Amino acid sequence: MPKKQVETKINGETVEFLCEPRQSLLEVIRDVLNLTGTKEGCNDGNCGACNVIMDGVLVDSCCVLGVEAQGKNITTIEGLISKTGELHPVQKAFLEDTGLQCGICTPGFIVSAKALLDKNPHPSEHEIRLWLSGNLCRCTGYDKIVLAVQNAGKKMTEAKK
Amino acid sequence: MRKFTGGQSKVTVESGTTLRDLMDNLEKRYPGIRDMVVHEELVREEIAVFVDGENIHQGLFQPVLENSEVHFLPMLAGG
Amino acid sequence: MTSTADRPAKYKVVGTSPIRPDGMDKVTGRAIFGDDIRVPGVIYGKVLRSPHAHAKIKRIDVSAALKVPGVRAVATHGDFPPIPAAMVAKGDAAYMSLRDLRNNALASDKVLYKGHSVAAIAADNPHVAEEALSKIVVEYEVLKPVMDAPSGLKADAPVIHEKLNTISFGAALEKSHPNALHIEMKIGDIEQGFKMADVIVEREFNTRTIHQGYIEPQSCTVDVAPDGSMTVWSTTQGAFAYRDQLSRILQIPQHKIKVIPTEIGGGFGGKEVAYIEPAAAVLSRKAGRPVRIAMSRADVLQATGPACGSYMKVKMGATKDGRMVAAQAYLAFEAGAYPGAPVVGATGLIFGRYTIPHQSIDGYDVIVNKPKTQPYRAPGATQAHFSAETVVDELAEKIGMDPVEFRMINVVKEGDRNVQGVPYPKIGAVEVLSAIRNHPHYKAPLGGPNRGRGIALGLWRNGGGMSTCIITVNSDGTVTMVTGSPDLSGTRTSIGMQAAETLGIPFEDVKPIVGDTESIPYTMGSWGSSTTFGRGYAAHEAAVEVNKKMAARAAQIWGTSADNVQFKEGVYSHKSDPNLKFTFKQLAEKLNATGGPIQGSVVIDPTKGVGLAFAACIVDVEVDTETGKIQTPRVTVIQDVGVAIHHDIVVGQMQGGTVQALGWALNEEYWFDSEGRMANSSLLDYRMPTALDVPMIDTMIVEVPNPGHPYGVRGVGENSIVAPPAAVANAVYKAIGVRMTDLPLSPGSVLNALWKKQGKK
Repeated sequence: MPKKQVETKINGETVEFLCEPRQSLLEVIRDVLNLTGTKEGCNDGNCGACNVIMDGVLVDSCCVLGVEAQGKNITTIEGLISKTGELHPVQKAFLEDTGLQCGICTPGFIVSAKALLDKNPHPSEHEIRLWLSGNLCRCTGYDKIVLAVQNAGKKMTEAKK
Repeated sequence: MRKFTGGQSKVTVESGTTLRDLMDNLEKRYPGIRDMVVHEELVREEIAVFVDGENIHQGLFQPVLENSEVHFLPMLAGG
Repeated sequence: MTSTADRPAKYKVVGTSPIRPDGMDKVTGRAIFGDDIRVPGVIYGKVLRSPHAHAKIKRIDVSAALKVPGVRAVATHGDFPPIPAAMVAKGDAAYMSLRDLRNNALASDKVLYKGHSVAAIAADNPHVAEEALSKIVVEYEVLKPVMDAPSGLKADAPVIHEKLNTISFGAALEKSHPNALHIEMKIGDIEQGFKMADVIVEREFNTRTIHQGYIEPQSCTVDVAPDGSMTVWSTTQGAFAYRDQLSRILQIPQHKIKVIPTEIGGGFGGKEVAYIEPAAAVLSRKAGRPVRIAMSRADVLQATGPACGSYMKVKMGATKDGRMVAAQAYLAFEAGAYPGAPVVGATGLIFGRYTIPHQSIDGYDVIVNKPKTQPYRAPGATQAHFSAETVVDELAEKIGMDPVEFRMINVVKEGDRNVQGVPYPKIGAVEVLSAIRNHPHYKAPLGGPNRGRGIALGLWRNGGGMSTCIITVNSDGTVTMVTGSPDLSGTRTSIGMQAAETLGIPFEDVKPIVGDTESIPYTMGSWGSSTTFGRGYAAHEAAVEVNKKMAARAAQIWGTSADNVQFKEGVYSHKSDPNLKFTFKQLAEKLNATGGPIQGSVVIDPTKGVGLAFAACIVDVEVDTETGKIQTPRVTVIQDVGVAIHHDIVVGQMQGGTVQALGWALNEEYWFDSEGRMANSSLLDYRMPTALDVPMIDTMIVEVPNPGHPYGVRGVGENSIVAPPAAVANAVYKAIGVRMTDLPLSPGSVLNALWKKQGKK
């Protein structure tokens, strides 16, 4: 199958790649660009492990085609740490509040939580659970994830003051 | 193993000093029983042996004292 | 969250919650999981799977597939070498024989479940490999499938194996039917027992096949060299188990197989068997290239090792003053395609929480046309507790006793004997029951209509197994510790913390790593709640060895004998000269110049010290009587963990297992069509709990230290999945007056039960 050339921005950097029209954005990220932080859990939009942010919108990258990345601005888990090596408050909260166990769902949750807090800096517990219902975790039972997101929100608000 | 002991689930034999001695004594009394537990001179992988309430792992070399209680149970694992 | 821990102040590291050394990589996307391995020259493997639940394979023709451009190799069962007869029946994973493992990896003359692997293709491009699968021609003779245990046990049931392998559990199981193996456990005289009872309850139960639901599908990369030696990267819970399985299946010596366990995205017992590695190895050998095979989610659901469905009948009798006198159970567990359901374990512990003089338990391991079952946390225990703990509750109600008090009268204590005659060691059953009684949740107001509260007590064996550890002291006083079991949820941390405690150094100075099969002697895999217990025990012993050697080195430096040196809180000092002392760091700096680095290396099997454990669940349910949907507004989990090494990880484990159990109780099940094919093989329709489905989980850690472990550890990982489904069913009874006996308690089944009670429909 002949490949298409795509130009896009990933984590702030301009990136060019070739991909087949049938390849998903997830496959492109993981196997063409070798950014393996974004994970495949189901490949049909039901687990959120492949969450990335595309033009400000949280998406399941397994349900987006690679060619759709043309001209877009994409953030993956690799893009959350600052250029000076500082963890994003959501990453820090997951790390310090034991918001992970095996860690496979963690990139998806962190990207998803960042998207939530960018939109709604003071979510209630219910709003957090509702937003995160698109991200499956089998290890934690969600308790410590919710607490981590609450703490991250608080820290982000304090930092702005 | 009950089919070798005529239906009894609890039996008493001379202990000897090791599990090997015990198995030999059991075999003398109930022929055929040794093979259920021992294969090629090793305790079968799928059998767990308890001596006085403790799951042991020295196999046939495990010391067995007079008046010890020995249980043979299926080896179990987990997830 | 509260804790009854009477935490000894003597521990500096044990009991704290340091940041996990692998945490940074996991929150930044740097951690390398199985499917993240990138090997130069890799090609992609895909597996052709049976569309039928039960069929003979008459013919496989791969010639057209081999002609597809980009295809480099095809593998079928015939590519496996013959195996010596003596080896055929042995199995390393305790639940599967070698012959069955091999036939499961690539089917021989029969396919035994929909999804059974038939052939595999490797190509330059995964999409090309996928398309080429459709060019493989397979001729099947479709047979009638068996889809549940009672059907499998009927006299006229289709026979699935011409020759049923009885080696699973060796002597304990006997063939009782072409499709089944039987075990029985008896004490006392069951007829007499029921005669003594004032109250008797008998119920029948059904549970469905469900899946562990780990978010990471199985994935492997296998690179075979021309001489047959190979490197295997795999999402395994046990690198040595996979190495042994591959060595036997492929007839390659162990030292030529290197298995590297990658970071693992959940297992819960489902990653103990090599499903895709054998085919990948064959493809790699034939193609002369490394081969990566990743399972799709549908493959994971249909072709790995789900937790088994069951049919159970439980009858229990008690006197009117609350003494349990008789207990009888008939358990028929679905093994799946090959023998090895966890029915033996279930028969041993179904009534194990209570002292009951007359017991009769019959267990059947039944072959059905579903994938071979594997453990899901505590294998067989959740099913057994669902039946027994609801019958216990019903007995309590008929006698007119509080459910906790009824259990308290009968609960086992140290020295009591289980049904197999083995005495209980020191256990925390009474403490866990007391914790229920004293917990604020137990007496709190329900807070709404159609609400009910239920409790259940859970027992789990835990486990030990071969444990090894190597600790090396670096010249700056830091320490490298190699352990042999993969880290599913923080065990490298809990093992490293035990080493740090024994060495008397801060945890931050220890780097715990998970080794591969070439870096450490054989170690049991991470299952059976054995990792923090067993591998931690080995780490402690290795640290003790390091301490001894460090003391000897200090003695050498001071020109005295080793018994003049004492070690306390990380400091080595001369017993009679107070000026002579070294901190661990100071002494480490001198090692290279005084004889070289110091290492502690230990191989032990601490199984005799395993502490079995009790856990409990208190759950409030709210039933919507119009839709049948059950919500759980309040959930409390209580567990005796012996001693919590890493406090927050332990809490997280308890919460995670509880939520899995809630999914098992309320929602999850495999749906099969009339041909025996799974109909809901996606995460949309195989519906696991989301953050929206559960509340905050209140956790109470009970600590009854295990005398069989240097730090008092009991296994933690599995127990929390055992009690909640029974607790939920008991709560539903309180809410709507209906005894639910089938799992899951889905909305449809709740409505049917309600309408039946109301005389409708």
